[in-house]
Amino acid sequence: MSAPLLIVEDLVKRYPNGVLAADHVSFSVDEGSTIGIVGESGSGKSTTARVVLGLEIPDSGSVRYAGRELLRRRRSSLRDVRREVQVVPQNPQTSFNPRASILDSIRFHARVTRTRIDRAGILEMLERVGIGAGNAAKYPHELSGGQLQRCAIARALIPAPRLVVCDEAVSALDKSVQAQVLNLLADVQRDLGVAYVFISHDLAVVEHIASDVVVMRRGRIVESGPAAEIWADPQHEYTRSLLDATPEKRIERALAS
Amino acid sequence: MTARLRVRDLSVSFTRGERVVDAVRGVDLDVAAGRTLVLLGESGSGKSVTANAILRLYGRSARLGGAVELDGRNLLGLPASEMRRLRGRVVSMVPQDPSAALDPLRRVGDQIVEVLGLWGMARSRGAARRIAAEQLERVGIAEPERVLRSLPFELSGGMRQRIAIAIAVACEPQVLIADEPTTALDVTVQAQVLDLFSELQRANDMSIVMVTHDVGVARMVGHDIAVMYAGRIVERGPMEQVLSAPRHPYTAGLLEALPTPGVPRGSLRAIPGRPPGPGEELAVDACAFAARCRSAVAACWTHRPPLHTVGSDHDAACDVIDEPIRISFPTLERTEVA
Amino acid sequence: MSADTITRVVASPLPVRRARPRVRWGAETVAGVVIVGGLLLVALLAPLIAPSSPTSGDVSRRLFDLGTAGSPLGTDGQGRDILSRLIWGARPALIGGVTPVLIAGVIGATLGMVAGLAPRFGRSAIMRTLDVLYAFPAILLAVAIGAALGPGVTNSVVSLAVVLIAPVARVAEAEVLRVRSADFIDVARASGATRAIIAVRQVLPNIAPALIVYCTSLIGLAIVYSAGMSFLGLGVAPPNPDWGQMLNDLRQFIYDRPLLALVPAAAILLASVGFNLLGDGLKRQLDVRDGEVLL
Repeated sequence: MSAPLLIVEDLVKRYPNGVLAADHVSFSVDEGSTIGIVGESGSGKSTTARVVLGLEIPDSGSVRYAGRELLRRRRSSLRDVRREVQVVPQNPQTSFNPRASILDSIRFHARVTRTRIDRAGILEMLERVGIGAGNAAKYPHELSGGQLQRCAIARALIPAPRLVVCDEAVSALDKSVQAQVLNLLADVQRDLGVAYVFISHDLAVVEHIASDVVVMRRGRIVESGPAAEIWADPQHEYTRSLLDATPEKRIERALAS
Repeated sequence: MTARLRVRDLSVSFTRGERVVDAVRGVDLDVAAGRTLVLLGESGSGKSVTANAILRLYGRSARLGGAVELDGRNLLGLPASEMRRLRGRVVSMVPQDPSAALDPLRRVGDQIVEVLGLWGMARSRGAARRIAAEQLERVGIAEPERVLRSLPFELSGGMRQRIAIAIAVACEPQVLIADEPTTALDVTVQAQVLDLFSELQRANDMSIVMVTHDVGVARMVGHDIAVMYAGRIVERGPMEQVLSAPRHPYTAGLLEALPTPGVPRGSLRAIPGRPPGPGEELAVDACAFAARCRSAVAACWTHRPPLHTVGSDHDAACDVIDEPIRISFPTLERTEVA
Repeated sequence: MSADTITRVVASPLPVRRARPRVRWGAETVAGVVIVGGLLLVALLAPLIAPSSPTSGDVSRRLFDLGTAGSPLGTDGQGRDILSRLIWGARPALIGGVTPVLIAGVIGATLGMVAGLAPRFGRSAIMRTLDVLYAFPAILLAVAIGAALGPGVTNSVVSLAVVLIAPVARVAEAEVLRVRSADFIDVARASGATRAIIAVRQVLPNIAPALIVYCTSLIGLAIVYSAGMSFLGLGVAPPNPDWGQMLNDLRQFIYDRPLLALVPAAAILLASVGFNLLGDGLKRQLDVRDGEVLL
């Protein structure tokens, strides 16, 4: 049993306005698996994601990727890590440069991550996520939310990452499109062995896609464990209230009775 | 059922440059007193446009056809001044984004008092403030005085939505239109706000038209449901009946696409393709859903099925399906051939 | 990359299609384009279209009123044809308007970008320093600097450029802050992009439209200011024709020939309005392009 790919330990982050966004947050992700981070607004899940991605510096704690400590290191020494850890952001409309075509944006991304790939290679990746070549030259405002999220996934996969942070990646999509993107993410994981840190406020989505779940509230982890267990038998009061409010859970109960 | 609100053959078209966009076509709805109708649909389905059209919120930019009858009176035929008197008092709306409903630069109390004054509900500022505090209590705000003194940014999203609801129901309207009222809220707050709608409805026999894209939300609040796709209603009827025994492949598809526990990863039954964008060109003589439909046959491409009765109070616009669709989810036991 | 991938890609039926932007012609845009275009033409073709010399005049023909045969816009105190001076004056007007804005645009945009992308402390340092400049009424500051530097076109342009840097930087900084909050910037940063490459490849193209619109309108203002500087004797030296200077010349005759002074004034006004309208038209055009985007 190899060591986990990502180990987050005891993260603490307090913003200048006094809000404690991360209160001793710890979790780990195994190679090729998915951990779901569930919480409502203000739970600190986004802050945790940003720390893992190197976009924010915590007050204390440790983030170890493939055995290497990421915090308190110079950016230039972590170039290769930044390639292998990618992100799919929440808002499809702002996740691409509005002034560049999708193709150009992805080319730029390849350059930034020092990935050697040519135009045909990019088109092939887009094809793989279900975006035809005709759409590659389009600008973000010409594509729908679902299409843009697929493009964002393609972009994330270009540098051959081992870990992808999906930050509310399906939250802005219609439910039927959400299902397509969730399927795509699962296929990609099966084919490429990518690990996911899947952040969402939707417990039903997280239960579906994650094998382990961490529930956050006001910066603290209130419960964690295998997804199926949390769904079937939540221990913490907050988890229970989240579950009670989740429509899919209500439907499940209604159908069972 | 005697309907308090009857929408007949409603159509809404927008002119964009040289193009005419038909956002809503031929919509019929009935909402009785004390009941909630959910308009369910995804982006581009025309559900929000329908809601806005009922309130005649579009000016000259839109052409409306058909009738919207409230207690027999056609709202679409009223002069603008008359409609302004009804709007907010007899027919009222809760918008999707609570921040948009409130002026960020003024205290909440001042805004509510102003609205009450406009509607002639209070004789003095003092009286208006008392009524405002009562309304806030009614929507479950524990410290109304403190909230009245606050600026909108100091309050949470859930609080702001409650305030928007309070303003909307202050005049005890007969019909309340709620456009995705909980989309911007956390899931626990969402549950509370939806419960609030039910309470208010029980207290005043208010009719509610709720627009949403979330089947789960629909189930929590609605008595009746109308599913919209590409500007038309494709299925409607009592909530439980439509959701447990749907007669239109799109409704079934929406239900099957939900991330239900037990479905193996990667096997969600997604509806292939995507919904037509608002105003996208569609063939006149074909079913708008045919391109994405599992059950489509050749006839679906040459003929648009009208909405017809398939059960008691249950209508569907599909000629292929002639019995309730059994919603099934892929499970680990069954091996699915894609 | 396998062989059939290549075939698949090459055989793709749809050509890679770019969306062609539609031009939104509104009344303002047309008016702006016509005026500015006309101004450019007049300035370019001055030697060909001016009826007589702008610098030499016949004193025996001085102070002829508007509508005189041979000098439709009259003659000034030294007998020079006003129409010819007006035509030739289009050059310094344009130069005096465009050059300072160009200089201030480049410097202000750079400062604004640096400030916008910098951490809080650096940003405050830059912007608060610029605020000091911004606090002065622009024309007073320009005159002060111009007086310190002495008369002449170059000095006038320099003093105006200095004055305009702060407003441009403000607009640039505000735009940068707006763009900075978008996800695509985070994606680049998280993947190891340096601040510099993000600034040039991602931020700059997104702030450029707003800056271009702002600077176009600023040209209108600069034309007025530069005419003002010349009016005060700080810009173009006589006898070279310049609208501001003409205004100064002709105002002494305001009791005998009031209409003569109106001519350069009208020209300054028209040029300024023209650029403002062009700026408005550009704004509309660019808003439409970005309309679908939530940014």
